[in-house]
Amino acid sequence: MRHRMVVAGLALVGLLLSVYLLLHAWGMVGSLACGGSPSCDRVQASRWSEFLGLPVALYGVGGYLALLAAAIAGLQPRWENSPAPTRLIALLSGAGVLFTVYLKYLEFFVIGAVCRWCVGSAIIITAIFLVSLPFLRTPPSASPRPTDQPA
Amino acid sequence: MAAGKMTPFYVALGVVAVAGGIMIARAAGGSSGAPLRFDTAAPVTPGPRGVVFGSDSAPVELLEFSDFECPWCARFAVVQMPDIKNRLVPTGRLRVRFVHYPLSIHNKGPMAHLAAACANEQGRFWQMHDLLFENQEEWLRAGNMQRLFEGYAGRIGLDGARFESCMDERRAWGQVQNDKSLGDSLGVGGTPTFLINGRVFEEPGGLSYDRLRRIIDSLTAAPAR
Repeated sequence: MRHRMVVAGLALVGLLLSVYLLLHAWGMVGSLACGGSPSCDRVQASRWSEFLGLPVALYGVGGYLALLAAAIAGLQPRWENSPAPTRLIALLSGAGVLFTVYLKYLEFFVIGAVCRWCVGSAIIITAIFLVSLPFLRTPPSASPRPTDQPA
Repeated sequence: MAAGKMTPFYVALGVVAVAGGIMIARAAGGSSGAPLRFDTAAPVTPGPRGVVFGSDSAPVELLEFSDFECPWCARFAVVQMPDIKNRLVPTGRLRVRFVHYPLSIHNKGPMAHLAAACANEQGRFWQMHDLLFENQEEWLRAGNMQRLFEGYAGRIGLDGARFESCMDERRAWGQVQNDKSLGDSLGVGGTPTFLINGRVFEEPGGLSYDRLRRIIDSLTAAPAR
Protein backbone atom coordinates (compact mmCIF):
# COMPACT_ATOMS: atom_id res chain seq x y z
CA MET A 1 0.00 0.00 0.00
CA ARG A 2 2.73 2.41 0.95
CA HIS A 3 4.34 2.35 -2.49
CA ARG A 4 1.00 3.42 -4.02
CA MET A 5 0.89 6.36 -1.64
CA VAL A 6 4.38 7.33 -2.76
CA VAL A 7 3.33 7.00 -6.40
CA ALA A 8 0.25 9.16 -5.79
CA GLY A 9 2.39 11.89 -4.19
CA LEU A 10 4.98 11.82 -6.96
CA ALA A 11 2.29 11.76 -9.67
CA LEU A 12 0.61 14.79 -8.14
CA VAL A 13 3.87 16.76 -8.16
CA GLY A 14 4.50 15.65 -11.76
CA LEU A 15 0.98 16.68 -12.70
CA LEU A 16 1.46 20.18 -11.27
CA LEU A 17 4.76 20.53 -13.08
CA SER A 18 3.22 19.41 -16.37
CA VAL A 19 0.30 21.80 -15.96
CA TYR A 20 2.79 24.66 -15.52
CA LEU A 21 4.61 23.68 -18.72
CA LEU A 22 1.32 23.23 -20.57
CA LEU A 23 0.12 26.70 -19.57
CA HIS A 24 3.41 28.03 -20.88
CA ALA A 25 2.92 26.14 -24.15
CA TRP A 26 -0.53 27.70 -24.48
CA GLY A 27 0.92 31.17 -23.87
CA MET A 28 -0.73 31.65 -20.47
CA VAL A 29 2.55 31.89 -18.54
CA GLY A 30 5.43 34.26 -19.32
CA SER A 31 8.99 33.04 -19.41
CA LEU A 32 9.57 29.91 -17.36
CA ALA A 33 11.26 30.40 -14.01
CA CYS A 34 14.63 28.89 -14.81
CA GLY A 35 17.09 30.37 -12.34
CA GLY A 36 18.23 33.05 -14.75
CA SER A 37 19.08 30.56 -17.48
CA PRO A 38 17.53 30.82 -20.95
CA SER A 39 17.57 27.04 -21.35
CA CYS A 40 13.94 26.41 -20.34
CA ASP A 41 12.55 28.92 -22.82
CA ARG A 42 14.91 27.67 -25.49
CA VAL A 43 13.69 24.10 -25.06
CA GLN A 44 10.04 25.09 -24.82
CA ALA A 45 10.24 27.39 -27.83
CA SER A 46 11.81 24.71 -30.00
CA ARG A 47 9.73 22.67 -32.42
CA TRP A 48 10.44 19.57 -30.34
CA SER A 49 8.19 20.96 -27.64
CA GLU A 50 5.39 19.35 -29.65
CA PHE A 51 4.87 15.66 -30.37
CA LEU A 52 2.37 14.51 -33.00
CA GLY A 53 0.98 18.04 -33.14
CA LEU A 54 0.33 18.35 -29.42
CA PRO A 55 2.43 20.01 -26.70
CA VAL A 56 4.70 17.50 -24.98
CA ALA A 57 3.44 18.85 -21.66
CA LEU A 58 -0.07 17.68 -22.57
CA TYR A 59 1.19 14.08 -22.66
CA GLY A 60 2.70 14.72 -19.26
CA VAL A 61 -0.60 15.99 -17.87
CA GLY A 62 -2.45 12.96 -19.26
CA GLY A 63 0.16 10.49 -18.05
CA TYR A 64 0.45 11.86 -14.53
CA LEU A 65 -3.35 12.06 -14.23
CA ALA A 66 -3.60 8.39 -15.18
CA LEU A 67 -0.85 7.47 -12.71
CA LEU A 68 -2.52 9.47 -9.94
CA ALA A 69 -5.86 7.81 -10.67
CA ALA A 70 -4.29 4.32 -10.71
CA ALA A 71 -2.44 4.92 -7.45
CA ILE A 72 -5.52 6.28 -5.65
CA ALA A 73 -7.68 3.47 -7.04
CA GLY A 74 -5.09 1.00 -5.72
CA LEU A 75 -5.54 2.45 -2.25
CA GLN A 76 -9.26 1.70 -2.20
CA PRO A 77 -10.48 -1.46 -0.38
CA ARG A 78 -11.67 -3.01 -3.63
CA TRP A 79 -8.21 -2.89 -5.22
CA GLU A 80 -5.80 -2.82 -2.31
CA ASN A 81 -5.03 -6.56 -2.52
CA SER A 82 -4.88 -6.63 -6.29
CA PRO A 83 -1.59 -6.32 -8.18
CA ALA A 84 -3.40 -4.80 -11.17
CA PRO A 85 -3.01 -1.11 -10.17
CA THR A 86 0.73 -1.59 -9.59
CA ARG A 87 1.08 -3.30 -12.95
CA LEU A 88 -0.76 -0.45 -14.64
CA ILE A 89 1.48 2.06 -12.85
CA ALA A 90 4.59 0.16 -13.98
CA LEU A 91 3.31 0.01 -17.55
CA LEU A 92 2.44 3.71 -17.74
CA SER A 93 5.59 4.89 -16.00
CA GLY A 94 7.73 2.52 -18.11
CA ALA A 95 6.32 4.13 -21.25
CA GLY A 96 6.95 7.51 -19.63
CA VAL A 97 10.59 6.62 -18.95
CA LEU A 98 11.10 5.61 -22.59
CA PHE A 99 9.55 8.88 -23.78
CA THR A 100 11.72 10.74 -21.30
CA VAL A 101 14.87 9.11 -22.69
CA TYR A 102 13.86 10.35 -26.15
CA LEU A 103 13.25 13.87 -24.81
CA LYS A 104 16.56 13.94 -22.92
CA TYR A 105 18.35 12.88 -26.10
CA LEU A 106 16.77 15.85 -27.91
CA GLU A 107 17.70 18.27 -25.13
CA PHE A 108 21.32 17.17 -24.83
CA PHE A 109 22.21 16.35 -28.43
CA VAL A 110 19.82 18.27 -30.70
CA ILE A 111 18.60 21.41 -28.95
CA GLY A 112 21.74 21.86 -26.87
CA ALA A 113 19.87 23.14 -23.83
CA VAL A 114 18.42 21.44 -20.78
CA CYS A 115 15.18 22.53 -19.15
CA ARG A 116 15.25 21.97 -15.41
CA TRP A 117 11.48 21.45 -15.30
CA CYS A 118 11.86 18.63 -17.81
CA VAL A 119 14.67 17.16 -15.72
CA GLY A 120 12.35 17.32 -12.71
CA SER A 121 9.69 15.41 -14.61
CA ALA A 122 12.27 12.86 -15.76
CA ILE A 123 13.31 12.23 -12.15
CA ILE A 124 9.68 11.88 -11.03
CA ILE A 125 8.64 9.43 -13.75
CA THR A 126 11.80 7.35 -13.21
CA ALA A 127 11.18 7.27 -9.45
CA ILE A 128 7.58 6.13 -10.00
CA PHE A 129 8.78 3.34 -12.26
CA LEU A 130 11.45 2.18 -9.82
CA VAL A 131 9.07 2.33 -6.86
CA SER A 132 6.52 0.15 -8.65
CA LEU A 133 8.98 -2.53 -9.84
CA PRO A 134 9.51 -4.51 -6.61
CA PHE A 135 5.74 -4.92 -6.19
CA LEU A 136 4.93 -6.14 -9.68
CA ARG A 137 4.68 -9.82 -8.71
CA THR A 138 3.71 -9.36 -5.10
CA PRO A 139 0.18 -8.38 -4.10
CA PRO A 140 0.33 -5.62 -1.49
CA SER A 141 -1.18 -7.89 1.20
CA ALA A 142 1.69 -10.35 0.72
CA SER A 143 4.37 -7.71 1.16
CA PRO A 144 7.13 -8.61 3.60
CA ARG A 145 6.03 -8.59 7.22
CA PRO A 146 7.66 -9.76 10.46
CA THR A 147 7.65 -13.53 10.74
CA ASP A 148 5.75 -15.18 13.57
CA GLN A 149 8.01 -18.16 13.73
CA PRO A 150 8.86 -19.30 17.26
CA ALA A 151 12.23 -18.18 18.45
CA MET B 1 -6.65 -0.06 4.98
CA ALA B 2 -9.30 1.71 7.07
CA ALA B 3 -10.63 4.87 5.53
CA GLY B 4 -9.88 6.87 8.68
CA LYS B 5 -6.19 5.98 8.56
CA MET B 6 -5.99 7.33 5.03
CA THR B 7 -7.42 10.75 5.89
CA PRO B 8 -4.07 12.40 6.72
CA PHE B 9 -2.67 11.13 3.42
CA TYR B 10 -5.54 12.59 1.40
CA VAL B 11 -5.28 15.85 3.34
CA ALA B 12 -1.56 16.00 2.51
CA LEU B 13 -2.31 15.39 -1.18
CA GLY B 14 -4.90 18.16 -1.06
CA VAL B 15 -2.45 20.58 0.54
CA VAL B 16 0.17 19.83 -2.14
CA ALA B 17 -2.45 20.27 -4.88
CA VAL B 18 -3.67 23.61 -3.51
CA ALA B 19 -0.15 24.94 -2.89
CA GLY B 20 0.94 23.91 -6.38
CA GLY B 21 -2.19 25.42 -7.89
CA ILE B 22 -1.51 28.74 -6.16
CA MET B 23 2.08 28.78 -7.39
CA ILE B 24 0.97 28.07 -10.95
CA ALA B 25 -1.74 30.73 -10.78
CA ARG B 26 0.87 33.24 -9.62
CA ALA B 27 3.14 32.30 -12.49
CA ALA B 28 0.26 32.68 -14.92
CA GLY B 29 -0.50 36.06 -13.39
CA GLY B 30 2.46 37.73 -14.98
CA SER B 31 5.78 36.51 -13.61
CA SER B 32 8.15 37.39 -16.38
CA GLY B 33 11.09 35.22 -15.31
CA ALA B 34 14.39 35.36 -17.08
CA PRO B 35 14.59 37.02 -20.49
CA LEU B 36 15.16 34.74 -23.44
CA ARG B 37 18.78 35.09 -24.42
CA PHE B 38 20.66 32.72 -26.57
CA ASP B 39 23.81 31.41 -25.02
CA THR B 40 25.49 31.10 -28.40
CA ALA B 41 28.66 33.15 -28.06
CA ALA B 42 28.85 34.20 -31.69
CA PRO B 43 31.89 36.39 -32.35
CA VAL B 44 31.36 40.02 -33.22
CA THR B 45 32.91 40.77 -36.58
CA PRO B 46 33.70 44.09 -38.23
CA GLY B 47 31.91 45.27 -41.36
CA PRO B 48 28.58 46.71 -42.37
CA ARG B 49 25.69 46.14 -40.03
CA GLY B 50 21.99 45.75 -40.61
CA VAL B 51 19.89 44.91 -43.61
CA VAL B 52 19.46 47.49 -46.34
CA PHE B 53 16.41 48.33 -48.45
CA GLY B 54 17.20 50.69 -51.31
CA SER B 55 20.12 51.79 -53.38
CA ASP B 56 23.67 51.96 -52.00
CA SER B 57 24.10 55.19 -53.93
CA ALA B 58 21.14 56.94 -52.29
CA PRO B 59 22.34 60.18 -50.67
CA VAL B 60 20.28 59.73 -47.51
CA GLU B 61 20.33 56.74 -45.18
CA LEU B 62 17.71 56.14 -42.53
CA LEU B 63 19.16 53.73 -39.99
CA GLU B 64 16.79 52.23 -37.47
CA PHE B 65 17.78 50.35 -34.33
CA SER B 66 14.74 48.22 -33.81
CA ASP B 67 13.37 45.51 -31.55
CA PHE B 68 10.68 43.19 -32.89
CA GLU B 69 9.02 43.03 -29.47
CA CYS B 70 8.85 46.83 -29.12
CA PRO B 71 5.33 48.20 -29.71
CA TRP B 72 6.59 51.58 -30.96
CA CYS B 73 8.79 49.84 -33.50
CA ALA B 74 5.76 47.84 -34.65
CA ARG B 75 3.72 51.01 -35.00
CA PHE B 76 6.42 52.64 -37.09
CA ALA B 77 6.82 49.50 -39.23
CA VAL B 78 3.10 49.13 -39.85
CA VAL B 79 2.07 52.79 -40.22
CA GLN B 80 5.08 54.65 -41.65
CA MET B 81 7.32 52.08 -43.25
CA PRO B 82 5.06 51.07 -46.16
CA ASP B 83 4.95 54.66 -47.43
CA ILE B 84 8.65 55.09 -46.85
CA LYS B 85 9.50 51.91 -48.76
CA ASN B 86 6.98 52.42 -51.55
CA ARG B 87 7.21 56.17 -52.08
CA LEU B 88 10.54 57.47 -50.81
CA VAL B 89 12.99 54.64 -51.46
CA PRO B 90 12.02 54.28 -55.16
CA THR B 91 13.08 57.92 -55.76
CA GLY B 92 16.67 56.77 -55.26
CA ARG B 93 17.23 59.42 -52.60
CA LEU B 94 16.80 57.18 -49.58
CA ARG B 95 17.83 53.78 -48.35
CA VAL B 96 16.65 52.22 -45.12
CA ARG B 97 18.96 50.20 -42.90
CA PHE B 98 17.38 47.96 -40.28
CA VAL B 99 19.73 47.16 -37.40
CA HIS B 100 18.77 44.42 -34.93
CA TYR B 101 18.63 45.74 -31.41
CA PRO B 102 16.77 43.24 -29.19
CA LEU B 103 16.37 44.85 -25.79
CA SER B 104 17.44 42.77 -22.81
CA ILE B 105 14.16 43.52 -21.02
CA HIS B 106 12.23 41.60 -23.66
CA ASN B 107 11.73 37.85 -23.39
CA LYS B 108 10.57 36.83 -26.81
CA GLY B 109 12.16 39.38 -29.11
CA PRO B 110 15.44 37.49 -29.61
CA MET B 111 13.65 34.55 -31.22
CA ALA B 112 11.89 36.94 -33.61
CA HIS B 113 15.21 38.59 -34.49
CA LEU B 114 16.66 35.15 -35.18
CA ALA B 115 13.71 34.36 -37.46
CA ALA B 116 14.27 37.60 -39.39
CA ALA B 117 18.00 36.93 -39.66
CA CYS B 118 17.26 33.40 -40.91
CA ALA B 119 14.89 34.86 -43.50
CA ASN B 120 17.67 37.22 -44.50
CA GLU B 121 19.81 34.16 -45.24
CA GLN B 122 17.38 33.51 -48.10
CA GLY B 123 17.01 37.14 -49.11
CA ARG B 124 13.53 37.60 -47.62
CA PHE B 125 14.34 39.70 -44.60
CA TRP B 126 11.88 42.48 -45.32
CA GLN B 127 8.97 40.12 -45.91
CA MET B 128 9.65 38.49 -42.54
CA HIS B 129 10.15 41.93 -40.97
CA ASP B 130 6.68 42.96 -42.12
CA LEU B 131 5.05 39.74 -40.93
CA LEU B 132 6.71 39.89 -37.53
CA PHE B 133 5.58 43.44 -36.88
CA GLU B 134 2.09 42.95 -38.33
CA ASN B 135 1.58 39.86 -36.17
CA GLN B 136 3.46 41.01 -33.10
CA GLU B 137 0.56 40.32 -30.73
CA GLU B 138 0.09 36.83 -32.13
CA TRP B 139 3.62 35.56 -31.56
CA LEU B 140 3.96 37.36 -28.24
CA ARG B 141 1.03 35.27 -26.99
CA ALA B 142 2.25 32.03 -28.53
CA GLY B 143 3.97 29.34 -26.51
CA ASN B 144 5.69 27.67 -29.45
CA MET B 145 7.04 30.65 -31.36
CA GLN B 146 9.31 28.60 -33.54
CA ARG B 147 6.38 26.66 -34.97
CA LEU B 148 4.62 29.95 -35.68
CA PHE B 149 7.68 31.43 -37.34
CA GLU B 150 8.01 28.35 -39.51
CA GLY B 151 4.47 29.11 -40.65
CA TYR B 152 5.48 32.68 -41.46
CA ALA B 153 8.47 31.31 -43.39
CA GLY B 154 6.09 29.21 -45.48
CA ARG B 155 3.88 32.22 -46.16
CA ILE B 156 6.76 34.24 -47.61
CA GLY B 157 8.08 31.35 -49.68
CA LEU B 158 11.20 30.43 -47.76
CA ASP B 159 12.83 27.03 -48.08
CA GLY B 160 11.33 25.48 -44.95
CA ALA B 161 14.09 22.97 -44.23
CA ARG B 162 16.79 25.61 -44.55
CA PHE B 163 14.87 28.03 -42.35
CA GLU B 164 14.28 25.34 -39.72
CA SER B 165 17.93 24.32 -39.63
CA CYS B 166 18.93 27.97 -39.32
CA MET B 167 16.57 28.37 -36.36
CA ASP B 168 17.61 25.11 -34.73
CA GLU B 169 21.31 25.83 -35.06
CA ARG B 170 20.96 29.56 -34.25
CA ARG B 171 23.04 29.96 -37.39
CA ALA B 172 22.12 33.59 -38.05
CA TRP B 173 22.39 34.71 -34.45
CA GLY B 174 25.82 36.18 -35.11
CA GLN B 175 24.25 38.80 -37.36
CA VAL B 176 21.90 39.87 -34.59
CA GLN B 177 24.75 40.05 -32.11
CA ASN B 178 26.84 42.04 -34.54
CA ASP B 179 24.06 44.56 -34.98
CA LYS B 180 23.42 44.73 -31.26
CA SER B 181 27.09 45.45 -30.62
CA LEU B 182 26.92 48.46 -32.95
CA GLY B 183 24.01 49.89 -30.97
CA ASP B 184 25.79 49.20 -27.69
CA SER B 185 28.92 50.96 -28.91
CA LEU B 186 26.83 54.01 -29.87
CA GLY B 187 25.00 54.02 -26.56
CA VAL B 188 21.56 53.29 -27.96
CA GLY B 189 19.21 53.34 -24.99
CA GLY B 190 15.89 52.34 -26.48
CA THR B 191 13.99 51.47 -29.61
CA PRO B 192 13.23 52.67 -32.13
CA THR B 193 16.31 54.84 -32.43
CA PHE B 194 16.75 56.55 -35.81
CA LEU B 195 19.88 57.92 -37.39
CA ILE B 196 19.60 59.97 -40.56
CA ASN B 197 22.93 60.15 -42.34
CA GLY B 198 24.59 59.29 -39.06
CA ARG B 199 22.80 61.90 -36.94
CA VAL B 200 20.36 60.85 -34.28
CA PHE B 201 16.80 61.91 -35.00
CA GLU B 202 15.31 63.17 -31.75
CA GLU B 203 12.18 65.18 -32.36
CA PRO B 204 8.97 65.08 -30.40
CA GLY B 205 6.24 63.15 -32.16
CA GLY B 206 8.63 60.67 -33.67
CA LEU B 207 9.53 60.05 -37.27
CA SER B 208 6.79 60.07 -39.90
CA TYR B 209 6.73 59.76 -43.66
CA ASP B 210 6.04 63.51 -44.07
CA ARG B 211 8.81 64.53 -41.68
CA LEU B 212 11.27 62.21 -43.37
CA ARG B 213 10.33 63.52 -46.81
CA ARG B 214 11.04 67.09 -45.69
CA ILE B 215 14.39 66.02 -44.22
CA ILE B 216 15.31 64.35 -47.50
CA ASP B 217 14.31 67.50 -49.37
CA SER B 218 16.53 69.58 -47.16
CA LEU B 219 19.47 67.21 -47.59
CA THR B 220 19.18 66.89 -51.37
CA ALA B 221 18.79 69.42 -54.13
CA ALA B 222 15.56 68.31 -55.75
CA PRO B 223 12.45 67.70 -53.59
CA ALA B 224 11.26 64.12 -53.24
CA ARG B 225 7.65 63.49 -54.22
